[in-house]
Amino acid sequence: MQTNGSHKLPLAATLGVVWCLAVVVSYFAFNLPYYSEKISTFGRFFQHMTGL
Amino acid sequence: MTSVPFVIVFAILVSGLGRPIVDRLDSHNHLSEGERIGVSFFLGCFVVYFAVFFIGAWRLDLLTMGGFAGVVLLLSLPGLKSMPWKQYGAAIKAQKLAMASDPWLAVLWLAAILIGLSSILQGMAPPNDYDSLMYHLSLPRFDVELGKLGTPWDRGLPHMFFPSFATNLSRLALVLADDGEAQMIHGLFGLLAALGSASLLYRLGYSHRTGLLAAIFFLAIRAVIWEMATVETDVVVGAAMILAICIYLSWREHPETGLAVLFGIVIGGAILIKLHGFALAASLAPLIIFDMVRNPRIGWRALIGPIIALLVIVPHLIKTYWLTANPLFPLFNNFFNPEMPLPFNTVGDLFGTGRGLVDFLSAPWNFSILPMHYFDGMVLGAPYLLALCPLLLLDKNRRRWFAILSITVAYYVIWFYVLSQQVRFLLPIAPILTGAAAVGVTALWKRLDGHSMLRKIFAAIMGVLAINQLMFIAVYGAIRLPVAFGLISDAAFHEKTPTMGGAHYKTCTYIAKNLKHGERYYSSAPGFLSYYCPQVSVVRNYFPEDAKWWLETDNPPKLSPEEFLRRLKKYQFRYFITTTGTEFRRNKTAKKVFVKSDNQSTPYGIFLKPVFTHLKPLIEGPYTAVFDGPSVLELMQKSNPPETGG
Repeated sequence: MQTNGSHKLPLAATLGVVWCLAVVVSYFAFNLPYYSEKISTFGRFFQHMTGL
Repeated sequence: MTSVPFVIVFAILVSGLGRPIVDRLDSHNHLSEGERIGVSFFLGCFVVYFAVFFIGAWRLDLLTMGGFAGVVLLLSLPGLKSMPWKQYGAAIKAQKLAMASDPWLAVLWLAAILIGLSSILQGMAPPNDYDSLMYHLSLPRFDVELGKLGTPWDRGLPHMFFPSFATNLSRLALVLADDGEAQMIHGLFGLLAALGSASLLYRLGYSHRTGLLAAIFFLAIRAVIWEMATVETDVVVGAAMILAICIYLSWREHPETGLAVLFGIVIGGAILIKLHGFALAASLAPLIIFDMVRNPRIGWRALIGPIIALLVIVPHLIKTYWLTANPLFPLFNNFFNPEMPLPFNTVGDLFGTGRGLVDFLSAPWNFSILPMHYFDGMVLGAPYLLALCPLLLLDKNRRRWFAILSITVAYYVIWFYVLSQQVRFLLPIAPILTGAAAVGVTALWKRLDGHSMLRKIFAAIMGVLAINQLMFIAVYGAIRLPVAFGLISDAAFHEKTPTMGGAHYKTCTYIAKNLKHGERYYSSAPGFLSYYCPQVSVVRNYFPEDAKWWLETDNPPKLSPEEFLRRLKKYQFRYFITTTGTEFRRNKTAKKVFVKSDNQSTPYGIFLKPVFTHLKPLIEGPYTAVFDGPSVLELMQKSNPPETGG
């Protein structure tokens, strides 16, 4: 597989990107309840502040 | 807003105070100028520690601390004069020039300054974190009210025997200024640790850009943002640790006695900030032993640092031994005082997934990805350290990291097997990890040169992590900066801002405002006595006659109802404060769970509960209520012997 038609895809670098992707995806998947709670708290705070 | 000039003047004066010591001990300028600035500041703070330690034992008031500040002003002048101000000006100019041709460098500088400044300024917000309210600030407030260093036995806190490097900075700030200044001084150590993280990378030969990135990564850690605006000590000990590592690395190359002494002082300082300093010192041991064996130029000289570290902590050890018969109290109490209780013996079971090999290997994943499940909450925020640190393997100069990583791994082993596995206790090695992460991201970026699709994916991942972490930075700013700048009142801030168990601001400030000189109040509360409550005029749960019991036995003293009433008559309390409930947030969503208190967990709550239910509180907060003392006594006398219904 080639990118830009000039460089060979480096294995170590590809693994690095895959690792980062795995970390980020796992993090959000496991912490969805945390973030939805925080976002709803912020929503209530925003509503309170704006009077909407 | 006088906090800002106070803290700036403090930073300048203590740096001037420490500078001549650095000039003397690093006479050949082996440390970089950034390291010299950092170490000068740290040593100046060390002088403050000893001054409060010795002078405060006699008197801790405006006269003695103001006098000390005057002496510091005079003594700092030679050091300030010897600083290379022209070099600083030239460095700023050079960075400005570099930024003109490198917009990314400008962005990094802007990010570092904004995040650092925001965290420091948040320190002007009223204290609102559990540990500070419980002991980091309440113990110094006790001493300031008392007018000298004391031992409030009735708090029942082993924490009062923790080393007091950072607490003594708070004591000075409370005498000369206020709690905001104490918090901001602690915040300066966050900047110092960030500077250390960057300095480590410069020392290893990386660019200014990478160093700046490391500093930003450190300042952006959720617990760092949170702690920099408090008087908590994990960041402070992290600053000491990274300075010690920089000095040690320099000493390995130039094994001169002065640098070894400097290393020992800073390691001793780390121990005096927090007992975890012992773990940090131990984590350096494998490298020191390796150097002793491998390098004949070093040999026995490697012992100079540890010996100096031991010497600087001797006054603390003597004081603690005098009070508890254990120089390291609360550590190893089963050895020094085999018949006495062992404090904190159950904390280790609260966190983590276990202590097996799989747990050991998976802990970094678990505390980064599943922080709300097994550990002490969302300490790190977005998992950029987990994502980026392993990328260090892609750096072509990774061999330079062996010595530093040996320290990191050794500390991690101690953290995992010996300490209580709270993730914030990893902050002392965070400046190293943020350095590794900055090098990792740079290395991967370089390796992806010419692969635009992968670069875009990687940039997108970094963007997601950055936005996530920016959210934490913004939220803390939104919570603390309005009150810091006086846009909302302290009372409104405490009403809306959660803290574990509550700050007890409303009830405590009511007592503080209304309690007259010579009057006392009684606190019947299972948790802690908040910093906002008067500290000396309280009798907390146990009367002074019995207050020392927890040091000597696991069995608390018990008074009969008649004896309890007799003591109440003796003390004639003006107020009674009691806990009405508490909150817990240690769950997967960090959502508040309120638990009503039944007054059963305090020693004499069972006697007081029937009386409290018949009286209307003078004032009530979310978790505490204050009752009129004479009315409580009157009702207690009427029902003599007191009711004992539960």
